[in-house]
Parts: sequence; C-alpha cells; structure tokens
Amino acid sequence: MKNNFAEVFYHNQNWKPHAFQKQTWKAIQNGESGLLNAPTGYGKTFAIWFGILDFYYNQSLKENPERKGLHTLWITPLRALSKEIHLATNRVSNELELDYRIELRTGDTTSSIRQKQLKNSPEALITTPESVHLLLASKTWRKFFQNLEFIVVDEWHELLGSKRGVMIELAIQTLRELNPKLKIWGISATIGNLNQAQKILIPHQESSLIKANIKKKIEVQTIFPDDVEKYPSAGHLGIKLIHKVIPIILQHQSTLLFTNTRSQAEIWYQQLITYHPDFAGQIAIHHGSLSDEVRLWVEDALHQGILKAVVCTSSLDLGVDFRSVDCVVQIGSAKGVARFLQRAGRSGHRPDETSKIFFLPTHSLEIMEGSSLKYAIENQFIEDRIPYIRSFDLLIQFMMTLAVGEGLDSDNLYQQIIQTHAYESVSKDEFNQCLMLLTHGGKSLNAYDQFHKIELDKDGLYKVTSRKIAMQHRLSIGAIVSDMMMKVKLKSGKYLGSIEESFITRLKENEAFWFAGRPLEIQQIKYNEVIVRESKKKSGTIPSWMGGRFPISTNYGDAIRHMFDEVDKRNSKKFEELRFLNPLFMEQKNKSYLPKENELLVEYIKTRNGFHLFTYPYEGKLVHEGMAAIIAYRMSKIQPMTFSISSNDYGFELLSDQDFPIEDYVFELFSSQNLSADIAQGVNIVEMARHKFRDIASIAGLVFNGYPGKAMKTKHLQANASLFFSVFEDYEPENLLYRQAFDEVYDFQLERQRMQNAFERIDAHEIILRKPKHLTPFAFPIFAELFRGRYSNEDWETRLKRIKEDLTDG
Amino acid sequence: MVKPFEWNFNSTILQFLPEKILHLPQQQILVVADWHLGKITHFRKNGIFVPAISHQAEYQKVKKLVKEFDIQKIILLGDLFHSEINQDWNGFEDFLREYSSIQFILTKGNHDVLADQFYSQPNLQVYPFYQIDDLIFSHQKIEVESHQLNIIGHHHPGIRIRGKARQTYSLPCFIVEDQCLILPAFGSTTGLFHFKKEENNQIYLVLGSEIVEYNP
Repeated sequence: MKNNFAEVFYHNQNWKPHAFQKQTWKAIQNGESGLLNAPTGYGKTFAIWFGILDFYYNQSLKENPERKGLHTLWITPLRALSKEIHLATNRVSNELELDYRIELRTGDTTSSIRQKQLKNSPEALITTPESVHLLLASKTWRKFFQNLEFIVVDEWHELLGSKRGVMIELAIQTLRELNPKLKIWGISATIGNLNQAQKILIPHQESSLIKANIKKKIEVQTIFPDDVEKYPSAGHLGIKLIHKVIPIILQHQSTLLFTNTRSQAEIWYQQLITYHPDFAGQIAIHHGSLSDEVRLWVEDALHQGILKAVVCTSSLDLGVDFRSVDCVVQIGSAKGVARFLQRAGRSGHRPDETSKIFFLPTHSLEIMEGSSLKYAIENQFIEDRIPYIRSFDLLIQFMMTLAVGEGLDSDNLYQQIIQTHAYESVSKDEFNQCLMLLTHGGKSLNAYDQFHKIELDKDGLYKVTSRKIAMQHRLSIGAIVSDMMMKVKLKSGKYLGSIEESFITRLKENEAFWFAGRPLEIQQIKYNEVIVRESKKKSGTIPSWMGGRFPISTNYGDAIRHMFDEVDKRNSKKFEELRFLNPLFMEQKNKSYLPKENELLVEYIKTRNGFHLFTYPYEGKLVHEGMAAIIAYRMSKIQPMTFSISSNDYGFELLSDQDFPIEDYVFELFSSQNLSADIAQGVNIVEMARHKFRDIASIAGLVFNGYPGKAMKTKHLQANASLFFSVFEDYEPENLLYRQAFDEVYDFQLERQRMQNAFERIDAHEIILRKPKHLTPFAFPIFAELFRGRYSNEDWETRLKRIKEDLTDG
Repeated sequence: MVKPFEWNFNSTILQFLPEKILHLPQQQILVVADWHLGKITHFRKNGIFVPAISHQAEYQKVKKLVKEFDIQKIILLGDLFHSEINQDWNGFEDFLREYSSIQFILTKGNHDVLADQFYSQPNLQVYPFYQIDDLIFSHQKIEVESHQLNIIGHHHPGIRIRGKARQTYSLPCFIVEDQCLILPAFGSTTGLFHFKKEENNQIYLVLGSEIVEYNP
C-alpha cells in the first residue's frame, strides 16, 4: 500500500517521510483509530493529514461519489495553532490542486462565515473544543456531522490534563454515537501515562499507538553565578545573573526566555531593556494577559526572525514553531521535566538540530536543579497528565448545550456519558440530580416558585424555551474561566491586555506601572476598562496575576532528591552543578546534616523569632502546605500551640513561640496513619473549596459572566460564586457541584494522592532529627519566604476569638 | 447576655448589634439595611439553580429584637426587596400584619423597584429619606448639615482580614466615616464590599456574637 498524495508532495519538496509517518498513513488507510506520539517539528500534522486525504479520495468518495459535508474535524487547544494547521494543510490542497476544502472555525470566525459553513460545509474544519460544543448546541448538528469520518485531536496531552479534555470526551462520544464508523486520532507529546491518554481518547475500541521514536538531542547548560551563596535567598528572580544572559542573547539568532509568572516576565523585559538599551525594538514580551493583538504581533515577528529575544511564560509552551529560535533560557525552576523538555524543544526543532537550553537559577540551592534535570531527562522521568473525572459542572453545561440545540434525550445521554472515562462512575441517581438542577432548580419539587431552565416537550426531549437563557448559555460554553479582569486600553482604543481589578484599585493616582513592556499610568477608569497613557517615569510597580504558580512535579522532586546520592560522586562530569555547590553542601553538613535520597531531615532550631521546625520532602509547595497544616495539627493535639507556616517547593517550616518535645514525637508526626482524619481536621478545606467553586459555578452556568464587550446588563442577577457557595453550604451540602469543589481541592490543590504517597515514602525513610544552633543553608530560603503563614487548629469560634485578640492587642 | 456595643452621636445612643442591625434605644427604633428579600427566588426564576431558601431565620432575628427592646419603629434603609415581584413579598406582608402596631419606614434604595401598590400598606411609609433630630436616614449618601449624621446602607461593607496562612476572613462591619454611618447589609444572601481602614474612618467588625473595633 502506498500514499500517492504524500509521495507526490514529498517528492516536490525533496523530503523523505519518517518511518512513523508511513506507519500512520498505513494505519489510517486500514481504517484504524490511534494515538500518534511525536515531537513538534517532525511532520506529525502531515503524518495524519495525508492519511486522511488518501482515505477521502480512495475510500470515502469511492464508497459514495455523491458524498457531501464535513469529513474531518481537527481540534486544537489554541487558536494560533489552528491557524498554523490551516496554513499547512491548505498548502497541500493548493499544491496538489485538490478540491478538499479546509476552513477555520474558532472564536475569531465571523458569524456570517459560521452561517455559510453550516449551509455549505467544507470537507475539513480546524477548530477548538469550545467551538465543537457550540456546534452541538445548534438545532441541526446531526445533519452537519452526519458524514463525518475523522476527528483529530491535536496536543491531546495538553487538553487531557484540563477540563477541556472532558469536553473532548463528551464531544467524541456524542459524534461516535451519531456515526459509529468514526475514526479518532490523537496527537500527543510524550507523557508518563500515554497508554491511559490513548484509552481515554478512544475508549471501548481497538486503536494503534504509533511512536515516532526520535531521540532529540538536548544540550542543557546551567548559568552559574560567580560564587556560591551559602545562604540562598530567593527574591531577586534571577536578575543578578542578567549580565550573563545578554551575551547569550547576542550570540544567538533568536532566544526565548521562559519565566514562571507573568509578572516575572514583565520584570525581566524591563530589566533587559534597562541593562542593554540597544535591545529596545529588538526584544518583546509575550504572556497570557496580553491581548491577542499584541501576542500575534510577537508571534509574527518571531516567524519573520526580526526579534532577538522574547520574554515569555507558558503562553509560548505550545504550538507554532518558530524557525529562527535557536536558543531557550529557562529562568528559575522549570517545575516539571516534561515542561522543561517542551520548552527546550522550542529551539532547534528541525530533525538534525540540537535543542539548546540554558537554565538560570534564581537562588543558589536551585542550581542543583541543573543536575537533576539532566538526570531526569536521561532517565525519562516524564510526568503523567491527570485527567479530570466526575466534572458535574461540565455535565450540566453539556445537558444545557443539548437542550439549547435539538433537545436533550436524558436516558440516552446517561447511556452515552457512562462510556466516557470522565463519567464512567456516575450513577443514574447522580445524573438525575444534575438533571433536577436544570428542571427544578434542585431537589425540592417546589412547584410554585416558577423555576425553569429546561422543560420536557411532547417528544420527550428537554428543551430551553427562553431565548435569553439560550443565548446566555451559548456565550458561556467552555471550561476556561477567566478572573475578574479589567481591560487595559490606550486612549487610541488599542487594547493591550488585562489586569486583575485588585491591582488597579491599589494603584495611587499618577502612579506608574509596567505592563506589556512599557510604563503606563491611568488616565480614566470606566466599567471594566482602564484607559492608560504612556508614563514618563522609568520605574513603576508591576502587576502580579493570581494563579499560574504551580508546584514542582513528583518526578521533578524525585530527581532533586536523587541528587543527594550523587553529591559524593561529584567527579562525574555531568553533575558540575553539584560540584559547584560543594561549599554549600559542606556548610549544611557541618552545621546540621546532609540527607541522602532515602532520608528525611528534620531540623529544630531555636532563634529569637521562636522555635522553628524545618523539613525537606521536595514534594512541591502545594503538598508542603497541606503537610505543614497536618503536622501543625498533630503537634497542637499533643500540646496546644499556634504556628506560622512557610513553605516552598523544597520544604516547609513551622514556627511557634512555644517549645515542643520534638524528639519524643517526630515519627508520630510524620506517620501516614490517620492521614484522612487529620486532613479533615487540620486543613481549612472549606476555604479552599470556596475558591474552587468559582470556576465550577461559572462552568455549570450559575454565574453568567456577561455579554462580550458590554457592561453587565443582567438586571439584579449579579452575585459572586462565594455567595452561592455559602447558600449550598447552609442549605444543600449534598449538592453535587458543592461536593465537586471539595473533590477538586483534594485532587488538584492538596494533591491528596501525592501527599499520601509522600507520607508513605517517609514512613519507609529514615528520619534524621537535628537541632542546629542556627539556620542552615537548607532552612534559609524557606525562612526567607516573604509569605508568613499562620495556622491554628482551633475551631471557628475560638478562631474568631484569636483574631479578636490579634486585633485588640494591636 | 453580651453588652451591646454603644456609640454616641451627640446625645443619641446608637447600639451596633451583632445581628447586623442598628438599635436606637432612646427612640426604641431598629434600623435594618439591605435586606434584599426575594433575591434567591429572583435568581431561581431566571434559571439559576441555587437552593430555594426561606427568609424565616431573618424574620426570627428581627422578631426577637423587637420583643427584647420593645421596639416601636423599624426603619428599612433601602434595598428591602431585591428585584421584581415574587412570592417572597407575601412573607413580608405577613410580617407587617403581624406587627401592625409597629411603624415601618422604608427609605427606598436602588433595588426597590416594585410597583407603588405593593408599598401601600397600613403601617408602611415610604420616603426618599427620613429624619429624626440630627439623624438623617437614607439608602445612599446624601448631603447633610455639619451637625448631622447620615445613616446609610447600600454598600454592604465588609473587611477582609488576611490571616497569615493564606487564610482570609471576610467580616461584615459598621463603618463611621466623616459624617456618615454605613450599616452592614442585614440580608443573609448579600455579599460584602471590602473597605479598608483609613485615617478618616472607624470600623466596627461583626465578629460572631460581638462587635469589635478594628484597628490593624
């Protein structure tokens, strides 16, 4: 079997297909579904695309020469990526003079083009999960999709770990029911749970897993400071090493500098311009809070190769390849092995090239991560992507989507959803509770209170009768909930991006702030828009955005811990970072103890601030916050006391003004026994859940975020999710959405499973207790964390008293 | 019983009650701001599936205070009813009938959009603002003379206290600012708008069953 289309096209380009491409073409020819695991830049798009073209002309059309309508649905997580795929596939159609039409359908597509597509569909649509659900919310979706043969899900690894992955599962299940012959293909980067990713995408059917097996060469170089700071403190965000970054940028054609937060990106951009004024006009900034217009400009300029450097965040992790990029700098901890590899891969992505990435530590202990990264890459410590399950908010949204469209057949929908991974454990009763929310507004059959969102029609289908509710629902489809943001605009109307409201309100009059890489000041605020003008001031505050501060992954922590077994083997050349840090390690050893991989060091130190307990599990900040709360709870059960908590990705600290007989209890404190009970008692889950509920309420349609571009016009219907949370808490605590908030806290915030594993790991470890006289090199960065936590285990009433004492003492 | 928190304006005693109500003991008056009756029902009628809840607990609170302080008059400081008419108004009419000897004053707020017929009740009077000696009651701030105090609602004042372990507490409060006393919202389905301690204001937090001055 051969693929004529590919053969001609590749011949014309003077290309040779990779083995995995041939394999994929063949699998598609055989009518298989499958998951393709290939890195960016090796022609994974064409591996799928030529298979589809061949199938269309040699099978679909031969079977039915009159066939019309949509043949392929190609789903990507990013609009920018959609455009890229659209360009690449259209190029094929043009060069080979094919009548296979390919069109985009994303949030940017005008409504007239959308209408045209519905009437006269192209053969392929390149689109996003949200747009697919919007199509399912139309009355004619069955007709539109009736001849669909392929669904391709691009960057499936990325979608899988988010609620958008659940949207894909729902859409595929629905379309597969319509057309059982549907073939499903996924494209995924390497992740730890690739097999699971395959099964979730293509459940209950045979499918192939095709691996590109291309070993990409990666060169990792750590940027070292001139000497070792034995007592590391974070806080300078790596800026101290800026003079070492400038030559790197100058030596390369284009450099991407990845930071972990948007504000860090703003700071680095500002500092680079200040430190090396020639960069003005040659470097740019790119992050998720900047407007599409600004970001597209940067992406275009990168394509054209006219930028020396771009300071960016995870906003450039994904998607489009930039040919000119030949160097990447990771500023601060990469937090995940897969993320680091992905970022490295943004440079030198052609098959024969080496990806080059510099690691720039933000404090001296972090230098160690240079070694652990090399170790992790060599040993393929690639993280899993944890799929969402039992997302009742999206289920309710989907019920509405169907009800807005042709009508919801509830019995059938239940049969469908339990075939998906996300909802396989949902009982009929739980399903009915979700349905009841939409039909009766809850459990109470309160006939006279006139609740109605969907109603049963004579054909047994639930439908939305109110046009207003239908329109609000269409505008709310999706699983990405944005924060309360204010739009930042220049007087000319140019939209720069968005900033959290709380930052704007904190600004003083005439105070300059840096945003989108320039100093601005507020001219006027109206509704949710801030009109700004350029400020003449050179310095200014930098907004900080909530979120985006994710912890190091389990694998990443494992790799770091392993380094302690390598410290003695520092002759090994690849671990030059450990060699460099030797003075710090010796100081730690002399002052306290240098733990091995299978030991947990606990330090108990008395200073004038009080009694500190430090420990270093390397499990990431979120797990540490939870662990700290549990240890604090266990200590205060033994002896009533109050703590301040401080934590980072490496460890945590409990500070108290009371002494504690630590040597008598250290094993008990770190035991995995009674963990569940102690979490429930010791961690303030309710407040965490209240926060999570915001997204859930928005996805489920409890909170309507307004019409685009208009101030809220929903009269007297504004309320924040926190209020709803309180109402559920008091009146309906068994509500599934309310419970979901707690489940999400356990799964994604407390990282319950990971915490359990950590406690069990520590059970098997030796615990080394030391009582050094002073703070140690390991302790210092945690001590220096600006954020000081206070935890007390008392119940709410006494907690109130406690606040009161704090207040009245002051 | 906890001693009520007292604050004086000239010779008038104002008691801040933890029920989020203002009590004027000399005049035997209760002042109730931003009740927002009917809010949840209004939401439900618009397809927002919050649990249907009753206002009974709120009525009980008011009834208890009426008895305890032998109240003669209740000033409703606006935003009494959340939006268009729904069955929760019946509950309020029952309440008026049950306390027919008490005089009810409503100073209308921006949410009070019901047709006039609903407000025409034997013991309810509606005004844009209401005056007792040097106290001027209104929903939103209005200009008052330098010797007067404007008592208002509308803002749903609260204070966010940032505990040190990512724990934040939002507490409702009474705020005195210049010539203005802002009352907390009484309704249990109202949110909070966060104020900050400034030099020109005094803040009194509702902390469980007590009122505490806030001086960070």
